[in-house]
Amino acid sequence: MPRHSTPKALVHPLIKRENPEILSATADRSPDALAAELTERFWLRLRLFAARRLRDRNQADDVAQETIRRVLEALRENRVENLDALPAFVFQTARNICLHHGRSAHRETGALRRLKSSQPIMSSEEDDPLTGLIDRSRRAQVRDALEQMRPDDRDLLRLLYVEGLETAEVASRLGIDAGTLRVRKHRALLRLAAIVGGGNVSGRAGTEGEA
Amino acid sequence: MTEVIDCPYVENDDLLRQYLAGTVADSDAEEFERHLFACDRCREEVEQGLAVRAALQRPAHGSLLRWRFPSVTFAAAAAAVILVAIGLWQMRSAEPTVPQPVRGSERGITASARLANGAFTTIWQPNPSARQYVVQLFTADGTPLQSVHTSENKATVPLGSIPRGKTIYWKIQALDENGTVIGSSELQRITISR
Repeated sequence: MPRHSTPKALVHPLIKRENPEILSATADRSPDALAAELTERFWLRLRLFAARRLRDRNQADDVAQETIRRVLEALRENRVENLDALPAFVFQTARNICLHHGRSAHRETGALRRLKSSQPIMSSEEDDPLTGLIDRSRRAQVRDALEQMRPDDRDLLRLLYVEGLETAEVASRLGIDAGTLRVRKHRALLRLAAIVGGGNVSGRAGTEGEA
Repeated sequence: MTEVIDCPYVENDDLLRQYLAGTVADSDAEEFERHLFACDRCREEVEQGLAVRAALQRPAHGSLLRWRFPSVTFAAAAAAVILVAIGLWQMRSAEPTVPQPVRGSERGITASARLANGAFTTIWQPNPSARQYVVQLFTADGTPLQSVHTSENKATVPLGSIPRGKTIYWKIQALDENGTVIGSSELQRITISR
């Protein structure tokens, strides 16, 4: 895997290094504290992972909760030998749970799935499994923040994240090179985060369907 | 002083955005997700990109007016553009095969598509006020490839000689009896498999 050096000034201030505490002294932690840390660290990742596969927000929540429960259980029973590999362990656990969900869904709705298989493979808006994870109040908050941004910043973010254009194409449209585009993107995201309030733009509290 | 980040997606972030757009192949998506579980930098950008995408995506229901006209200034500018467009449209002769640029009160169209047997097939939620729809295919630089009019809520467009591996962009527009655009899907893309 290639290693890239990024100037410190360009490292997003919201990026936190992986929480080292969770990788040690798990035995000293109460179940609630450990569960809270696992949830904080992996909740969004798990929901993204499951939502993309299952295309169902509620099932994605189920998978995330079940994964956290199983990982917590494994940690408490010392079944995770290499704690450095905890992310991979969580990933594989979620993958297995998703496969199980998929098999169950297949058994229960075989006829429906066959029908769906003749339907289109791409969809937009309501069928977008990932953006469906962001709740309305968070969308409104980020939309308000975007409206406060400079139009060129807003357009850049729209081209990148809504239109989903590739770097080369966006750079070409804006008449800049790819490196400049990356710097502008980074700064635009910083400004957006600052306007939103310094918290995660789509943090856990703002995702749909959470308690 | 520099900080070393073990992340292959720092320099090449196209895959991250393709992941958010749902246009990345399953195998690539899974590889990226495996990385995402361990990389805070990518998680942060995914979080932000997802929020931006959700915030700017046209809502299927609800606060369309607010999104269309987020401020008085923008509403006034939009109204002026619409008035000018209506004037220009009335001055020109009718060209029934070309989608009219006039936009009325526009609603989003939920559309989906697939590629099969050398053709692009799409289906969308019908708009009760639409008289016809226009299916438009473009190249990455915006050059029109195909434009098909239909009164149904589905269409199949032969891809002809478009090379395999190419990405094409597409959108659906709903037109009323005057040819005014009253609804449109997001501009989406799809890649012709090799």
